[in-house]
Amino acid sequence: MTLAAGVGFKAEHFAEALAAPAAGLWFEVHAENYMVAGGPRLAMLESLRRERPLSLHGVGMSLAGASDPDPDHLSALKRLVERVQPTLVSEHLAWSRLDGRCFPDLLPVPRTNEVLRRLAANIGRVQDELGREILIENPSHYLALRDHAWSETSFLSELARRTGCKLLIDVNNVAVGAHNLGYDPEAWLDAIPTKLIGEIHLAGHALDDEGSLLIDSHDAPVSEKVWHLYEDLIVRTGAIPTLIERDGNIPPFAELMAERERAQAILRGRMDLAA
Amino acid sequence: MLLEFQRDFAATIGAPAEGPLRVYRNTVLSGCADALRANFPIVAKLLGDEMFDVVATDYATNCPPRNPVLALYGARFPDWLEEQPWIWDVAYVPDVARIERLHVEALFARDAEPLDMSALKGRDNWSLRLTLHPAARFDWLSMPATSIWLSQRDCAPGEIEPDWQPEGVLITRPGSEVQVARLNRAGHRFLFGIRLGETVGEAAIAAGSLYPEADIGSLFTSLVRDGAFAGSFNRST
Repeated sequence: MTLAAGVGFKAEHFAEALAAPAAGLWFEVHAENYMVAGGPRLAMLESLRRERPLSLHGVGMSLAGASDPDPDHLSALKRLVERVQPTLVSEHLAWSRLDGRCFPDLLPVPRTNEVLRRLAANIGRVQDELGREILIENPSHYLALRDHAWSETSFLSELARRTGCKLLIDVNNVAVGAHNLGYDPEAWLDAIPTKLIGEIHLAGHALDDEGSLLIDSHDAPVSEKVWHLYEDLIVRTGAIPTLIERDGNIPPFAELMAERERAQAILRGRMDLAA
Repeated sequence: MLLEFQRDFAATIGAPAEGPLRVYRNTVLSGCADALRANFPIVAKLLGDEMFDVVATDYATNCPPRNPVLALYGARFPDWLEEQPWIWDVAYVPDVARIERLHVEALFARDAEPLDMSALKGRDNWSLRLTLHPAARFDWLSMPATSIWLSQRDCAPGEIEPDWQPEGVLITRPGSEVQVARLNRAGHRFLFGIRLGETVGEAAIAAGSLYPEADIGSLFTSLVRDGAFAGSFNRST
């Protein structure tokens, strides 16, 4: 089945998600939320998977850290992948584990040759263990780190070439980073080779309490700015599986599906052109 | 170099920060606090939202997650609560937290068919060596925490007026939902024996001689109905 536009799955939407008739609809979940031995949450995911394609989006592998992937965590991901047979598996260009401690966040790294080698080795290890290609998501940026040796777009592209992984381009993260660090989001997106993109994320953001930084908060509808960037990107790439992400202020399922329909219409426009 | 960078960064966001670093610090702390709130909802209700936020942030600073699966975060939270100087005013809270931790363990435990009453008909049940269901948890608590947990789950926060006696808790998952029930001393002794590998008869005699007032037959029936035992069992040899 070809993936079109999908929606981040929330347990409170289970019945509607199962019954949704939309063609090409798929769902994505954070893999860590389902890395448990059994019980109703895992059973719900399996029921959903019987009806729809599923994408597992990991947030805890700490691929950009100095250590190898945690073997227990990698085994847990492998068990989940075997259990639900996802269509896509993705992770982040970030670290979240250090000296035995886990940080529930996606922490940044300088884009150096050392980090590139480390990331490539860690992605390789995950792909070897899972026996499949994964996608790597571009992070959102709040802090201008010193010591970058690579531009972000060339770093991502090189990583994909070295490991065979695909890229998950989060257009909201590009918009948030462009605002916070002052770069041009259109130029950023234009610099990513289209053939490397395997999935796109769209989400909402918010202004922080101090009023200067945009936060990748996933608690609001997708902004108009992000929709425009997305439309331009799809003109260049053609139809790419696209996800509406929402993690806070969860609206009724129908509202998420309305946003999903907007993405679907943009993708459909490209599919019609291609036909 | 990378390891040094990570350690410097972790130390920087480990202290109050401004601007961009504050975003990372807040995300880490609120991620931990949200996970604790999800895993200990009745403790959050008892302490109130504001107090719980302070307590959760303190816990996250002292006992950060060791695993990215936050659905299981907070294993040490009940014991940690008991060590806090302010806990004397709400001394029942650590035991309520113990129930919530067992609830989390039960919710995510391995799936298995529970023992069905029909499998026991016409057999010599006394010689059975049962195993506990993977989701079954029980404990004996010095506070009436099960009564407090049950009343807080079912109603708005208010004055807590249980009978201030120790009581047990039995947590099971007979179907798709987790059940929490009070457990008396005889029930606790009986389950304890089963967990140690006693036959039903041995556990029943031990529980009955310690607590002669208990009706061990109906206790056993209700434990089976609650899903305390796994469906597969062995005969004593």
